[in-house]
Amino acid sequence: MAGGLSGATLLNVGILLGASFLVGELFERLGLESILGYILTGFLLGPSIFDVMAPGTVTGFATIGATLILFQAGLKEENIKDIFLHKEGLQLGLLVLLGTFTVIFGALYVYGASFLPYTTINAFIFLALAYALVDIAVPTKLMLTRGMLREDKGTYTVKSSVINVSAGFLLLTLLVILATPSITEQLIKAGSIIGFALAFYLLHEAIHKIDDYIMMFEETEAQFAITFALLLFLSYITQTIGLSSILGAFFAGVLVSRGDFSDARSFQDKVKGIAEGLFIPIFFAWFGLGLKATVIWNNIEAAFILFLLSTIVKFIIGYLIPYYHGMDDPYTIAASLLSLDVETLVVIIIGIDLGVLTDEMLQIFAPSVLFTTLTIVTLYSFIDEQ
Amino acid sequence: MSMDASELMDDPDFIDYDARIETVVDELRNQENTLIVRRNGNVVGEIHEHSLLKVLIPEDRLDEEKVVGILGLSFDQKYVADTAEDVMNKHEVTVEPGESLGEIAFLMDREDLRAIAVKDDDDIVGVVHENRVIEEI
Repeated sequence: MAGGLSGATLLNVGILLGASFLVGELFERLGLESILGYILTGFLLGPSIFDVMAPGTVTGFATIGATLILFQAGLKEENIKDIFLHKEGLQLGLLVLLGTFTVIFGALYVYGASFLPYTTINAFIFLALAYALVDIAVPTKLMLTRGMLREDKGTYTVKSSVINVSAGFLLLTLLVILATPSITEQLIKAGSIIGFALAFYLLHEAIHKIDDYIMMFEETEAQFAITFALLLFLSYITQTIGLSSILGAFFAGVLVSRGDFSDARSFQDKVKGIAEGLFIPIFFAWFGLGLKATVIWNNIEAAFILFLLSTIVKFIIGYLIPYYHGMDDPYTIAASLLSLDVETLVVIIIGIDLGVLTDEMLQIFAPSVLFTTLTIVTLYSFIDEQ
Repeated sequence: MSMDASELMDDPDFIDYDARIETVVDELRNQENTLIVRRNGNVVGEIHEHSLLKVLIPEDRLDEEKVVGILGLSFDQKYVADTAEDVMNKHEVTVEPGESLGEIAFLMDREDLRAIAVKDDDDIVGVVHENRVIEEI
């Protein structure tokens, strides 16, 4: 072993990655998302169960994994504009977001301090937003296995969900500024963000001009290396000016998507390979490693109340709006809008980054992934029987 | 002497962005394997024959991460395409009229392309197809 390199890191990452993909594959075959398998693997290997490794051993990899999730989302951002033109989807997506946000925030404002370890309005706003977001991956998987995605209700549901999450992340960016305690600090942060936005705009305009040069680089990995450096640099800058690093990663994705090279097959294959084959699974496994069975159990009441609030409000709105739009099968559409997953996790992590929430919130959130997945699978089974 | 793109290219075939997918299929049946998509007279993308394969893949063979991504901020409508715009590629590799045969072959291999559009300034002036390239072996 060369001096300074860590054999333990190699072993830990090797075990985590190998085990995650095995369990992920098992989940896929059961008709569930592989991401759930990665989280479970981390939980089993972590201090709570077999104590094979601590989350700190892979935190660096997980940080890059989190930024790559947002980076990939930013790469597809152009597609979002077209989706927002879907009028019915826009109404459903926004109403689910705003309706759920309002009800959860109201409930937390009145009763939140009695079952959550938080008392501030900022914390309640972050939590209301986190639980108002819709995850579409689990229902998409269920729709695909039933051949529903190409039907009107399939595209309507997915577009509503994309609009819900996109609008939610816009709100989140605003919240990040407002979460700063004093007016002076808010102004400083807003100034930094305006400076960043200006630099972002200039880079955005310049990317077309430097595009041709990047594509002509003799070194075949240059496009990827430059992109990756830009991703890390923007993430660092946004973290430094008080925005979360993973929002910076999203902006990096938006920038890169403007370049002609970003749609090249060779570029996409490289990003996909390194992100989905390595860093992103480690990020989810890292999340699992940090879960503590006793803390989850101690907070199970909070987890269940948040899950119930989110599920009931989303189901009611998710049923009534499609019914109003005259869609077939509003029950299936409503059932498809209940999942909580990585979108909510991202908001919670940003809240923790900003000091609005604490690590304990990850323990409160974790059971919701399981609860909502079981709820959707049960509802879909009921739909199948009908 | 090696040929260049201007000697290898065919005239481009155009289609409107809002043409139904059935029209796209009809056009491809009668033409070469690439259509240039226009919106209000401006070129906005390209459709290659193999792009349409996504529409035919059975849903149970699709991976949800390919369709909606990991974070629910995108929806790849190529898999549920209704119009030319849904199925087209927005940014595709292009070459200039003077580009050499060897460079075109290199790009086709690297990007797994069946055809490359030829761009002169901002205008698409032709398309070099794979079958025309391999005739030069």
